[in-house]
Amino acid sequence: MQEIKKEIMRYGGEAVLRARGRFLCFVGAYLLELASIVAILRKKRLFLLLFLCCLLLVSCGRKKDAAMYDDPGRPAYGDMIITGSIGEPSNLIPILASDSSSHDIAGYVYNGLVKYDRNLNIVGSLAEAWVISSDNLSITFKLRKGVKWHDGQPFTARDVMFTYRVTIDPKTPTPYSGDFKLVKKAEVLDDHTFRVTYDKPFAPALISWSAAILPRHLLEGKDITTSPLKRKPVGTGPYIFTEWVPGDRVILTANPDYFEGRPHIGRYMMKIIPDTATMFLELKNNSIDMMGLTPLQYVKQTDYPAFKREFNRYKYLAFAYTYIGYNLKHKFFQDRRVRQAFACAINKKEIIDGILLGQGIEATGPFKPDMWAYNGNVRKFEYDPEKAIALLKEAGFERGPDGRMRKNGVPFEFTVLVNQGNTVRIQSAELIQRRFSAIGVTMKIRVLEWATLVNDFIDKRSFDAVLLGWTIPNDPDLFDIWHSSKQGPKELNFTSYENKEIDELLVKARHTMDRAGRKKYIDRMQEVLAEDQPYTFLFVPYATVALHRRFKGVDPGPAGIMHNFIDWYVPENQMRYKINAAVSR
Amino acid sequence: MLQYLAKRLVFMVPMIFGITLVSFAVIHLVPGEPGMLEAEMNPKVTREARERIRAFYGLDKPLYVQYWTWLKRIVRLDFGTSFATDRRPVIDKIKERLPITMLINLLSMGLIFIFGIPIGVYCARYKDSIMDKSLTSFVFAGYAAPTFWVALLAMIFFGVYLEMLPVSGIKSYDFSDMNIFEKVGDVSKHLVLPVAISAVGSLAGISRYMKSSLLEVLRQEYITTAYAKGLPEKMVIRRHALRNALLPVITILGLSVPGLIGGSVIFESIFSIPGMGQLFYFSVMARDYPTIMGILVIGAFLTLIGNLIADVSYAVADPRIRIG
Repeated sequence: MQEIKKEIMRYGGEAVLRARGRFLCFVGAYLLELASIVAILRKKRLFLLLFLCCLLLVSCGRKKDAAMYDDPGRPAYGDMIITGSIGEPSNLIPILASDSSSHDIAGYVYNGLVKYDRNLNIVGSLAEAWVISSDNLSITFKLRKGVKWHDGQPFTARDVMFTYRVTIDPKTPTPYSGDFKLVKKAEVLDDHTFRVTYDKPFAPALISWSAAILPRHLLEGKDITTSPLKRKPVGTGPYIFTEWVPGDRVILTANPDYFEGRPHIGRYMMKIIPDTATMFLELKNNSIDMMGLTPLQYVKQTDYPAFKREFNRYKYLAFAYTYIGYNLKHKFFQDRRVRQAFACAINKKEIIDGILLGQGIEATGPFKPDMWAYNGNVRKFEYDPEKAIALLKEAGFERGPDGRMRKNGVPFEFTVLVNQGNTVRIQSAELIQRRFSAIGVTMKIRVLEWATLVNDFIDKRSFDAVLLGWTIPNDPDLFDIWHSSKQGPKELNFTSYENKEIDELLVKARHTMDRAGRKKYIDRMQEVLAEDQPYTFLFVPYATVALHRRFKGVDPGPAGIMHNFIDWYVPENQMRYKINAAVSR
Repeated sequence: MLQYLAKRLVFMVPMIFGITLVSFAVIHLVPGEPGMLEAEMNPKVTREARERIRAFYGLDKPLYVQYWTWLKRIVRLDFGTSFATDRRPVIDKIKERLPITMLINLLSMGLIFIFGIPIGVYCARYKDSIMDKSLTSFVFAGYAAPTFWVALLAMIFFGVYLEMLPVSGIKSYDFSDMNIFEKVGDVSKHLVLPVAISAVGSLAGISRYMKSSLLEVLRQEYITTAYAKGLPEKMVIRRHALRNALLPVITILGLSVPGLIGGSVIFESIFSIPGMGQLFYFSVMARDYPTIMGILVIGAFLTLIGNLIADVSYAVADPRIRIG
């Protein structure tokens, strides 16, 4: 372990010297400060001048020799990547966890049978191939041979079977049993062949097997909720769990026997920093290597040469969109023309430019343009307040002498609910409020804590409109959000949208295995939604990430940047932490 | 005295019971349920799965039954298992976070007393001098400026700019390879900013307390007598005035006992210190009832004990209370 420090000294020695220089500046400044205090005490006015002097002295600049990062170098094994996370993982058995930090770590430790590649195509992971039966009812997975769990035991089809069984076991408190419940029959044909059969063809079936496969030999016959694996996971993935310092960090080490090849970066550390401002300082301080940036940080606070010498910044469309959803039981919102009028009254470009600082694109439906399911050829509502007023008049509204829209004497006034803490949404609501008041509609904004918003307003359907966001699923199955049967308590069609054509399309798309056939239904669905405007789709933001420049081989694509993480590398001469030397395995 | 103590101790029992009842009711009034907040509005989470999780935590039973189950455990000093998905015993979670919070709070309390009392004494002695005014403005500025803002400025200056002190955390990455001296050095380096900043915020209270109580004592006739005897000023202040003026400080000490384990959310989040404040905050956000209740019960108990200690030691220190 001594070696590490030497390495750090070698690479950090320069920094120490610089720090020493700055320390001298600081001592000088401090002495001047003392002198100024003496001056105050002696009631002399000199101190102001002296104070200015110390400011000047302290601001001796710092220069870093970051030119070496320009050299792409050759792939090498070693170094460590440190990422920041605002939350601590809770449980490293993925079916039991619902927070994103747990799933992040689990994503490196475990594998599914299949996964998404750079372009969001489904490719094999633990399964090297699969065959879908001609009646589209069953999938037979051919599993990779020679894969070993991190503890050396062989991986077999019985692990897959166990994972399926434990997920649907009523005693397992997992939120994710939904997709597996549709399986009619699961069979282990031999050690490396696994078959599942469904009642009806189910389009998202294949990708539902991207769920992390758990080790049977460590979990079978035991209570999964008390298993030590929740804090010390054993998987088949590219990184092996090494250490978890509670409240501080989680460390993973590259798996030298990983079946897709040994990952180049020797270690992965998730550092828990609950405050985003602090995390940003740690990034600037080079203590962490990667962090998601807010639009403000991306556009203003990192756009200077010194930062760009040390960090690369990436941007790709996030898997999310923001929308205004209308309670369709509300008497005004039942009329499609009212919703279309709203779509015309909102200036989406203004929201993107003003609030996202340009880091987003206008949304026209529930998907983003770089997905295969996206249909860009739908009705678009440009910003046009005149047309909005015309549409409202058509719907029976009159503009009163005070400029407000009224229908049968009732002024058009409603409240939009936004969740606390999400400034982008709150500010968007404020811009929209102004645009609506221009067409004579009064929109009030109410900001609520998330749990209150969901439990007391959305679940009870006691709202006029909400400004929220959805995550865009990789698999374009939107049954749960738009089907008219999904209006029960805690179900997600909370705006009570009912459209026979959509219902039919959703069911057909869901039961069509062939992608081209499925896309036809999904395309039509997007046309209907754009015409109907049950939501006003506002924008798809960009995900913006800063990553230290010593990491090479990053390939941003529709799936983001992490999809080829095992191929990232740091050239030998640019490595910062040579911690791989300390790995005992 | 013993009778008084016993009486106080007996009265504490219904008090604690009342506190638990009120806190239990209040946290269950808050919307949202454990384990489900992040799964809220998630299409992958079915209704049936939700019901299953509620049953798993016993949330489907009526509230009084839940309270009764909890109470039965707590009288056996069993704090139960956390409702966070990690399902660890609450007591383990608290144990793992208590030391760092106590260390920081003890250190900063030490700093507050070491600096606060002399500042108070100085300001009382040289009342209305320029130094008094500048010290007073300094401590009030420290009190008035929001901690998170001062903390961020200090982090930028000492951490990012001068690179003298670490920005956050309590240990360096290579901590495990250090020898014992380097370890102590490393932790103290990490503690400088958090301790100093939390102390600056609270200097105002104690120094003002000290100043006003000393001023009052200095107006007493026995001080005039002491001066009249011809005692030097140092002696008058140290031996006659300060002793009496320090009495109220005991109360503050007693009242700060629960604060020792409390920790501050904002503060610990900013410096990413895995302490009690953070634990409490995350538990509330996750509606982790057993952990919230555990921390509240310990806090309530310590507050009551702190009060008791303050009252008793006051009586011990001040004969006027003990006898009169």
